[in-house]
Amino acid sequence: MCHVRVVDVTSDEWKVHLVNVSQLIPTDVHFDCQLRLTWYACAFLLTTLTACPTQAQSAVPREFVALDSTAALHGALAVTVTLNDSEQPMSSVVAEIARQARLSFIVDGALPAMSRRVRVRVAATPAATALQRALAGSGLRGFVGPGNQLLIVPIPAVPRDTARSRAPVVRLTGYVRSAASREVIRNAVLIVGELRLSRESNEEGYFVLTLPPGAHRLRVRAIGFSPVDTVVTLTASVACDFVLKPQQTTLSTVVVKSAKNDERADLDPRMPDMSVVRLDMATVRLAPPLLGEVDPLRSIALLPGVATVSDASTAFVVRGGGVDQNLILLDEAVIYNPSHILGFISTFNADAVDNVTLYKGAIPAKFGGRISSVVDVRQREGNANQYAGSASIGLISSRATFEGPLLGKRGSFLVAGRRSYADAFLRLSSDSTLKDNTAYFYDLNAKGNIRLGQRGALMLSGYAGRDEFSRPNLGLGVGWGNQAATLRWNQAIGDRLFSKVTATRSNYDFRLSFPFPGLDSARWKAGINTATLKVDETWQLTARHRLEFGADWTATTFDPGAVRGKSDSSAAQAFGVEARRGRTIAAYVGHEFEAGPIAIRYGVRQASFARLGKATRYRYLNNAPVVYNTALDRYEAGTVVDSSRITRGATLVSYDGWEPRASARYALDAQSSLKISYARTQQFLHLVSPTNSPTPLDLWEVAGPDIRPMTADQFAFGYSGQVKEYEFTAESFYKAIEDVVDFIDGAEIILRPRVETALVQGSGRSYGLELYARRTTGRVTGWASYTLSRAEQRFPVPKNSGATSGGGVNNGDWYASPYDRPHNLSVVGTYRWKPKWTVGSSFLLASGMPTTLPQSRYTLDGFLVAEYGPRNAARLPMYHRLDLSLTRTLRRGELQFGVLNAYNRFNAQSLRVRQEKKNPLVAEAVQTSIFGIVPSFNYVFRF
Amino acid sequence: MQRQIRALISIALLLASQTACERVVGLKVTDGPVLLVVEARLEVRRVQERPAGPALSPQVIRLTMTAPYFTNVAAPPARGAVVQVVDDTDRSVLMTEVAGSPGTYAASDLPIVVGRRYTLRIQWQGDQYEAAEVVHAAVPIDSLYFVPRPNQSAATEGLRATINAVDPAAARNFYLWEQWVDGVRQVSPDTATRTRSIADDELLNGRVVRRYQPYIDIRVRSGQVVQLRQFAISRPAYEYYFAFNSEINGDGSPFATPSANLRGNVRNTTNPRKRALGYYIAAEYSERNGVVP
Repeated sequence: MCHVRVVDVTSDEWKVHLVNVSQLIPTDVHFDCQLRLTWYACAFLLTTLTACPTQAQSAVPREFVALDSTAALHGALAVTVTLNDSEQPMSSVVAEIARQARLSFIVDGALPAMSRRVRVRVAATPAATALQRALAGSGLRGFVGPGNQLLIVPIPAVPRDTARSRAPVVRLTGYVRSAASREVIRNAVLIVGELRLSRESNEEGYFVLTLPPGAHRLRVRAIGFSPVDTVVTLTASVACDFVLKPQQTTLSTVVVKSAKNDERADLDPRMPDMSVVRLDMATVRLAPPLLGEVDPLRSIALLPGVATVSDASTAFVVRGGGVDQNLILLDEAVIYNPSHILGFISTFNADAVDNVTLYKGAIPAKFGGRISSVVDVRQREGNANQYAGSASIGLISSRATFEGPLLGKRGSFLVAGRRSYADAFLRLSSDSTLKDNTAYFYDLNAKGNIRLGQRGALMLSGYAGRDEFSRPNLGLGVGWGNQAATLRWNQAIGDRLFSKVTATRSNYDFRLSFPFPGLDSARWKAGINTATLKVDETWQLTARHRLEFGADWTATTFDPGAVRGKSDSSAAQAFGVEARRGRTIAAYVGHEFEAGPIAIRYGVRQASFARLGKATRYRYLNNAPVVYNTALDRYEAGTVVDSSRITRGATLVSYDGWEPRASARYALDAQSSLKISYARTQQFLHLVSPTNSPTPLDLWEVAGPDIRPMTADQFAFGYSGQVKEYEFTAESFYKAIEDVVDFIDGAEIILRPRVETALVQGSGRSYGLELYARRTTGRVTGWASYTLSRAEQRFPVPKNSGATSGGGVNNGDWYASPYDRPHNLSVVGTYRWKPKWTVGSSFLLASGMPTTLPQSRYTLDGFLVAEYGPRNAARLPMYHRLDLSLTRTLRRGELQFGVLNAYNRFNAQSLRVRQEKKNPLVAEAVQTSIFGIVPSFNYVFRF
Repeated sequence: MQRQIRALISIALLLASQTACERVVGLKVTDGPVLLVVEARLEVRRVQERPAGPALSPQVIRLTMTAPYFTNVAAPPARGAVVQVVDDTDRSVLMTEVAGSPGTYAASDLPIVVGRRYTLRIQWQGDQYEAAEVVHAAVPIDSLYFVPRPNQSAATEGLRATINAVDPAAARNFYLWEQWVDGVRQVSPDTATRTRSIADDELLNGRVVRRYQPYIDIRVRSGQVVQLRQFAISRPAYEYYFAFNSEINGDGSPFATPSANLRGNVRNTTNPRKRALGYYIAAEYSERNGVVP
């Protein structure tokens, strides 16, 4: 351990400098460096370039140079000093020279050489000369920085093996942390100036920089934090944390105001990453929230390539995929149905979430299981310095968080809760039927982490959330909830390997009670249960080569559930569908390297899925679970030939496949680059959703003997650039999906014992252009995204199901996917109006969703029935909406007013035709919209 | 049963989506081809319940045509068709167009016997249409009585037509109920009850079904005459009604099933691409009548 101290500040000028230094090194936080290789070679030194004293001249070196090589003395180094000849410790000598020359210097006072007693006698000698004399033979060496800062470091031991051909490298490793809370900062960007090397801290905040020994200008940036611009002198590999100071600790809304462009790497032209957008909560709060609920998933829909499904739902589709093709992870645990109030808001409590990363293409090989996107939600770690909390009151729910250090600052915890209170108002009602109703949801997030020494950490994260609605007078009740838990162990092994071992468990269930004629009531219970164990390793081979590899094992039980009658007398039998058990084993390896303007990341993932017993395996006539009846133009369930029992643990069917992934960037210059990527992805489960948009009551169906897994291939090509404070990306993509699922018209899906008899599998394709511009500095910040795309699908009649030609939906031809939106524009902006007032706005403009319109009508038993034309051939009217918010910063919190759909646009969610009730012969077209103008407020109090 | 779950899910979902609003808009649609529409339900009461005597109740079917969606007039009848019902003993009965009621075809000498297969053949405008159904044995209604619905509250008070029956364990049964109150059929587009009550016996197979209220929303008042028929329908017929109900129920909400074409069992043997719409069902029923006390 060594402690770097900033010594001797005598002039006001230098005090400015010190303030900057102390920003980097908060006085209460020891700047801990751990040494390896050479105990005494503590050579980690910091100073700032940003606040150089004004005396900087043209002769001032741009980098740190050795004191003895400085040609022309200037500034404080030229000031003459006088020392008597008494023998003193080196530290006193250096301090005395610095005092006289009004010179600032940095040295590790714990170095043995600093306590050695030396005798220096000089009179009216320049400070530089005096220092050289003092340091001569001490094993120490002085360096002068661009601002005339003096660094004193030990002379590194000469490596014995001088014959080594390779240039020696040292590694700087550690975590980037927040000074305020000691939380790790994920995806902070570290830029080594002269090497044009750019690295990100990983999703645990850990970084590895492989550098040649010597002084390097290093900039560390993270959104919402003051940047560190520093010089690191490395003589040996060293582990060290960078501690960044938050820009604003109280007001999240304006945190982004002075952020620098390179504070996040998602759009960074220097990174090979492509089709990745990261949203931190500060950004999410920019968008005016729906009903005062800041919702990470709703914000995702404002990004390019993402389209919403319905105003009533946080479900979304990415690049023409399906709603079930997005892997939603909360601290790496899968969340199957992240919805409250039937999808109206998501289960993610913004107070507990740190950031959200959306991968919509070029998905890294470490992710698997869904074909269109990955939404990686990370919960906050909690404040490791002090206890803190916040509480807020919104229109539909209240939230509270509490966080603080654990085990004497060796760790931290965070607990956050949210609950709606509509039922509290119901209870006040005088209407007895309303009074008995239940309607609420809650979320509980908890996370704790403990540092294991310098280089390891143990994290336990949990989430539980639930919705309950019931109307006892109707015998009706519905409830659903998610639970997730993650236990993770991070460890840096050596200075090149970062290892993560993660175990997760997630559970989703719903219950529906309903009156059933002939019974008192019936109850349907269903759920999904997943356990995952995985290992992820990152191995920094050299400065420009990195290897990632790992493996995971997932076991899932999908229980479509059973309906049980509750009856006084007859005790009706239970009717259930057997559970589906699946197991996925996957392994991946990826390599990333840089060579000049080119950076390439490529890898492969191998995933194998097995459907396990116990289960019943059915065989169908002609192996066709569905049969197409050409004469009647309809699908019919296939005929079961025989069935066999598969015992517990035995394999019913298995699928496996390779998923190659690759992305590359070519740097045009320091500010712009071209990127290209390809990824293949596989998905072994489908969402069984027969409704217009998914509901919490939809279940997942696993691949099986007659249901093939989905695969997708995606190519993307893009440009990424920065001009001043603007970041800009343009990407075009083409995606082809095989074996997407469509349900047979009018079929019963719920609790269907053999779902394969009600579905057909087809193909999807989508292509488009996405433009994205972001500005994160200045009084006006925000982004604009525009997507021009087309998503189509087709479902020809399966080969073995008996059709001679044509047939199926739209005769098996391509047609628009249900959520296809050719044009999709969103503009999100905030304006820092006054110091305490911020105005936020978002504007959306999108093509209407496809819809199917009737061609003719006929009458059955007096009911008007529509005969529809081609599927999805028509479109709803254009969608546009403006949302506004106004935030007032208070001393200990903030107050936010919002208005959604400010000009009360009646945006069509659906267009249907129906029979007029009064005049059954007359038909009318009805357009439904989900909400008009919706005001909201939100008050946050922090303590 | 699943229909009930779906309907109840819809109710549950409506609780949460009360902000949704509807607006009637003008809409122009392109016209499709004119197709034949068949409404044919041959029905017969259980032999045991039939009054003595050889009299057969007449069987009536209706043939119409499709029309442009916003025509706003009654469906045009399909006149001049040759309609024939053939059973599996090759006995053939002609159904003739009723004078004064175009598009309505009737036969008074068509016996419907459980277990037999009946094929409907229609010749119309140069095309031959065909559909076949096997008649299933109806499960008898053991008793019809009137009690309140369970979980009663202010909104749901009042009596309901209630039945007891025994579901046969041996077979998979599919039920359809029709209810008349004072001679008025209850399911119609201009009343609150717009969907037919259907069920399969997956939850109640082989059980004594007590206190079953097929039309739980139809409140009956003292003195009303209630007639209830319990049909035994085939699985395809059940599926047709299921799809028909979801089409009628569809409200365009995010939680409704997407609109889809209804496909019945009548096929065009001359020109398969020019399909017929509607259904052909042959079913036996059990009937009970009662006066609400």
